[in-house]
Amino acid sequence: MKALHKDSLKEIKNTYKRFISILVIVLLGVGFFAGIKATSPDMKKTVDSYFDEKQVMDFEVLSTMGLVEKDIDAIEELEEVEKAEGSYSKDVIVKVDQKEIVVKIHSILAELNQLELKEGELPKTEAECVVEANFLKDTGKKIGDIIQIEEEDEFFKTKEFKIVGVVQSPLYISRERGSTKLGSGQISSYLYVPKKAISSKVYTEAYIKMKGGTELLCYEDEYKDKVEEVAKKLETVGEKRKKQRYQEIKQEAEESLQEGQEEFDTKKIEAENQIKEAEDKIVQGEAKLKTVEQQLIDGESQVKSNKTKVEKEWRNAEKALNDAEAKIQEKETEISKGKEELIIKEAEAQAAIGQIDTGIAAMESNVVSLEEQKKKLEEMGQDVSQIQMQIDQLKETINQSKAKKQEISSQIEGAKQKIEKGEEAIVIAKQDLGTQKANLEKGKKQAQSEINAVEKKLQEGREEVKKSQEKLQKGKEELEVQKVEAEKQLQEAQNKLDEAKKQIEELEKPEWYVLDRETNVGYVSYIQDTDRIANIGKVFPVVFFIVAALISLTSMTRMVEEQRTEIGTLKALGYQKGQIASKYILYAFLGTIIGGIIGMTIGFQILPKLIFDIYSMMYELPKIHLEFNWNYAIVGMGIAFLCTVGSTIYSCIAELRSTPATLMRPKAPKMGKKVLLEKIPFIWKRLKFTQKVTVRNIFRYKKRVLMTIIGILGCTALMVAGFGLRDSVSKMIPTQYGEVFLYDLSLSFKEDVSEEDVNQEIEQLNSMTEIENILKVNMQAVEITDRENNQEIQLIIPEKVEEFDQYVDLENRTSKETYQLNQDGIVITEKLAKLLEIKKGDSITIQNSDEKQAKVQVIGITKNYLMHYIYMSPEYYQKIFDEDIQYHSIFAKTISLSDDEEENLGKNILKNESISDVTFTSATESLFNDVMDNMTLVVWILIISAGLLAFVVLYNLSNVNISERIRELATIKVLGFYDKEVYKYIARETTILTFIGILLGLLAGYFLNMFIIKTCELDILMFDTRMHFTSYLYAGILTIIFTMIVNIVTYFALKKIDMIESLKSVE
Amino acid sequence: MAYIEFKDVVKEYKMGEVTIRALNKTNFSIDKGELVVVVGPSGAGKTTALNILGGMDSITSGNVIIDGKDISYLKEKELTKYRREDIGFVFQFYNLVQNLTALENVELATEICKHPLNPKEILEKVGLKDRIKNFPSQLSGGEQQRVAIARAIAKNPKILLCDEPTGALDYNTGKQILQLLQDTARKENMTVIIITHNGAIAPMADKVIYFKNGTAEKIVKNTEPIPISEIEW
Repeated sequence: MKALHKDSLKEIKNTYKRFISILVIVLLGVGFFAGIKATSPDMKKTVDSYFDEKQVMDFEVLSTMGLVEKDIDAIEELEEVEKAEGSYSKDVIVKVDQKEIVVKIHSILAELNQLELKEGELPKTEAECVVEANFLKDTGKKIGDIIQIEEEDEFFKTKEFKIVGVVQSPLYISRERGSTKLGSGQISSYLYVPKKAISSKVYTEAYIKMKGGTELLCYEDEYKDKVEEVAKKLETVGEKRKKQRYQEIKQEAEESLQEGQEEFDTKKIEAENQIKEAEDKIVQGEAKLKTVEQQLIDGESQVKSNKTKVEKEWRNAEKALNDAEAKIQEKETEISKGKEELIIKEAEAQAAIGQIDTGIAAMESNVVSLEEQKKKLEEMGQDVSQIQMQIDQLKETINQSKAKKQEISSQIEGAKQKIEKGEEAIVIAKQDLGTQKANLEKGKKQAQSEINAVEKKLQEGREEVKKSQEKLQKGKEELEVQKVEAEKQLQEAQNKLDEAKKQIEELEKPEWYVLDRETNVGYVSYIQDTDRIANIGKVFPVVFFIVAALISLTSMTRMVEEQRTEIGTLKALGYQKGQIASKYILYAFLGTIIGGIIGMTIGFQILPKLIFDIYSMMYELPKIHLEFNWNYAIVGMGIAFLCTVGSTIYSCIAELRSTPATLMRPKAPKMGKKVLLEKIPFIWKRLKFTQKVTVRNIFRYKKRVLMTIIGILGCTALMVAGFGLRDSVSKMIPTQYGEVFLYDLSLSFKEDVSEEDVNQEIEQLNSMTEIENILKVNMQAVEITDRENNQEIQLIIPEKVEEFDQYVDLENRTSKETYQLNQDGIVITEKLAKLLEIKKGDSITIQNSDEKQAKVQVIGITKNYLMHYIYMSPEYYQKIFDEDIQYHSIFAKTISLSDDEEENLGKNILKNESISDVTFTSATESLFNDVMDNMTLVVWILIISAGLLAFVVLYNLSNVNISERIRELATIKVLGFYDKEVYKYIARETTILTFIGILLGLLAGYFLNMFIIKTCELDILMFDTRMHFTSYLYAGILTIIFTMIVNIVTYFALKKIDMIESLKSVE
Repeated sequence: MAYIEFKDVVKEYKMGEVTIRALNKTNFSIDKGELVVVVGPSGAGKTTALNILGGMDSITSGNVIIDGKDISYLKEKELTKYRREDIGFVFQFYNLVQNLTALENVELATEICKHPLNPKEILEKVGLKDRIKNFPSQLSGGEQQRVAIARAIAKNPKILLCDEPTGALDYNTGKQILQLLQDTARKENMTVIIITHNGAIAPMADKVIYFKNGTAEKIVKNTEPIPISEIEW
């Protein structure tokens, strides 16, 4: 090692403080520069390699008619295409408990857009699915649970999927899931199912990976150029396929129309035949009915004639019977007459009989007496013949009498018998008559019953006929209805056919949409965010580099000045200018290279990671891809060298130009000069002596003064920006939910809940003690179509415009003008207006969730800090869209509730089946607050770097100051200044400069804060730029504290000044 | 009792592992109002003795008593107070504050004293009446040294210490400065100690102290000091 270089190293050892201050400022400058600069590319590379690893598509092709295998094949035939895959996706509603969640279901692709499996496994069967982690968090479901989807088109083979795993899709790197026509209009989660779970034949989209895309960085122009080139090719394929597909569809449609027509025709004939048959049947039925009726009528008349006949017969029979009866009566009368006569005759006969009997008896007794005489005569033997003759005569007479008697008796008996016979005959006749009567009666009865039966049958027949008639009538009517129905159906079918025909005629050619990664919202916003960081990277390092340059300049100038004699000596010894300068250059070079390397190592490692971690809260990405970025390393070091070595050379040049003799003489001290202030005796005279000295010193060391001010200014400004950022970030959410959204609770009803139910629910809600006021609103996702944007916008239409100001404060942030929704136009939120460059009075085109478009007038721009909203009165909505408004959401104000009470209230409300979602603004607020808490990290980075900056600058300046004025300081020490007084002598200057620096810094901080906010504000946010007074205060106080710490160090440095050494010789 | 008393003063410097004894049991005493010239070769310890007298350096052993007060082992602050109130210093290289005018340089000293003299009067006395508003860079070496002397005297110190006050000046100017110092000692009855390696000026002093090898080797009292204007060298 050359002696000169050794000297250089020794110099470092001797003046290590100076060396370290150069090193540290270079470290800070290069570290910040390298770190911040590298963050954006590192973050971009992270997403690029993530996309490469996951084979993420370069293109997504959509078609209005869907895509078929042939389309995919045609795409794959392109030589630029590495792989094309058809894919399915659909938005569906998943019901979980009482909640309705809109999810987007994708099919899992074989190669492209590979999923990162976080937990569980990929689905194997068609009834399995994988979800994203957030889905489980939102729904409380876990792996193994089954979810049900609501879907009517049978796009999927099943409506129930079992969750088998948790994945992360590279298509969704941000928290944004896109919008939908379903439910709230926001997709809240994605879900993946295997292809086989889908029944549709037509792909909804195709994902394409181009050749050579992996090798390129997807955010660079080279890639973009290639994408553009391939996109053109794809569009050409699209043109071709569009036509073919159109033909195919048309042909298919025509074929199916043909088929339809044929089917229609046969169906028509069939229907007509059927009707005819039915009509025939009815006619037949009618004819049959008629015969039956005739038969009935015939039967009835027969029954009638039979009846008459029978009745006549009966009458005859009755008459005959009556005659017979009369005869019997006659005979009876005869008989009774005969009886009476008989009785008389009997009596007469009796009498005659008696007489006869008496005569007989007498004769018999005569006979007996004769007989006895005879006997006696006989016995006497006499002749008896006389007697006998007598007896015989007598006996004869007796016999005659007896015969007579017999005759009489028999006569009577005969009469009697005759009567008896007559009587008997009468009885018989009577009996006969009875029998006959009974018979007649029986016959009558029988006949009657027979008649009855017949009549009943007839009746039945009639009824049946009636029924049949009715049936027939019904049949007829039915037929009529059926006829009408059939006709209607036929007509409808005809219409459909006509429609189909018309559609075929009007069939529009399918459109192809070739989208690239630039339409992936997550990717685009991520790239934009990295660009924002790159923007910040443009400012901060500049501050550090300026300071580095200034510090090097002062340090090195001082150093060269200090070593004036040595330089002169070297020069006198014959060293060349370059050689002499190399000593100082080496000094600066070493400081720079060491500081730079440490700075880069820290910067490349820490800053990108830190910033990425902050952004990780918003994006789902793998670990950051950290790398040593040679470009920025070289540029950063280059700038650092320019600052340090450059200023070293600059400070050397002046000295080296002088001759050795001049150099070896003490440098002519800088001339004391009167300052302008001295010419104003009014002020000057009032100053104390020490103050005068201070003033003069300030004006004397202009460079140092400038540096001090710049250093302090930078420090203060950085801190103001830091605190301001914290203010903005932390105040944004409270302001949004405290000053803009005045409601406490919002809830939405399910899609299918009717208006009456909604009203009923509202009444019920109104009756809850916790709820004070309720306003019905319509919320829907809308788009602004005539401006370039991809913002998600919510349209809010309050049912009652006049009550709306209780729920949302529509007020312009700057003009404080308040807006009332009316029929003239819409009110939009400030950030939206800013992003889309919309001014009050502009007219824009908006598209509602039914995809209707309308031109609207902007009547106001209202303050808003989170998301984008458009407010509109219902009248205006109806006026422009000509549509009814369904109020499916509610804003409500509650009494003040604790967190637990809110949770309970929410649970109670959600018990109701018709309510899909309840959100407390306080919950949203705390959610966002958690996210925002992390932003404080940024603030800390700013504050710490500001502090470091302040230290380095002030310490360095203080060192230079002391070194430069050491004789002066030693002199006043010798004069007997106490340490405190010596310190004050120096510190008074520093203090004044510090205050000037702080004041300027506060001002600069305000602008820096504005700049940072502008560059790092997300699109959906608007920071509340009202900076709190305390932020300025803190920044000021902290700067003062930093300055004070440096001053304390200075105090001891001053105390250590060796008077004797310092005054011993001339420098 | 002498006004200034140096008793067995030892001063050692540690330079790494080597200890250098700058003063080795030095003894001398000076009376009030005396003009003392200290002469000796380089490295004899005269400046060290002066620094100790001026309260700018501490001693290793021995005692230094000034006006009855032992300053040998005073604390930093007390030493500063001593410097502030009792000592006036004149250096070889003037050590004026460049950013202050002649008057202001004097005022810088008088600001902190209890009983300062009027700076303007002092400057008049040293013959710089017309230059009081000039900055050091606008003054010649001799004028600058006059300002330095004025600054030292204006404090109204008990002792005026001058370390090679003419070292950077030409012969005539140097003579003038010495004259000024001699006058000051006489008129103000101030104890003045002048260090010089120029032994020729010794006759102007009331007392001459010869330093050699870290001790006051010889102390000579001039009963008849010669005015400086009469000394030639």
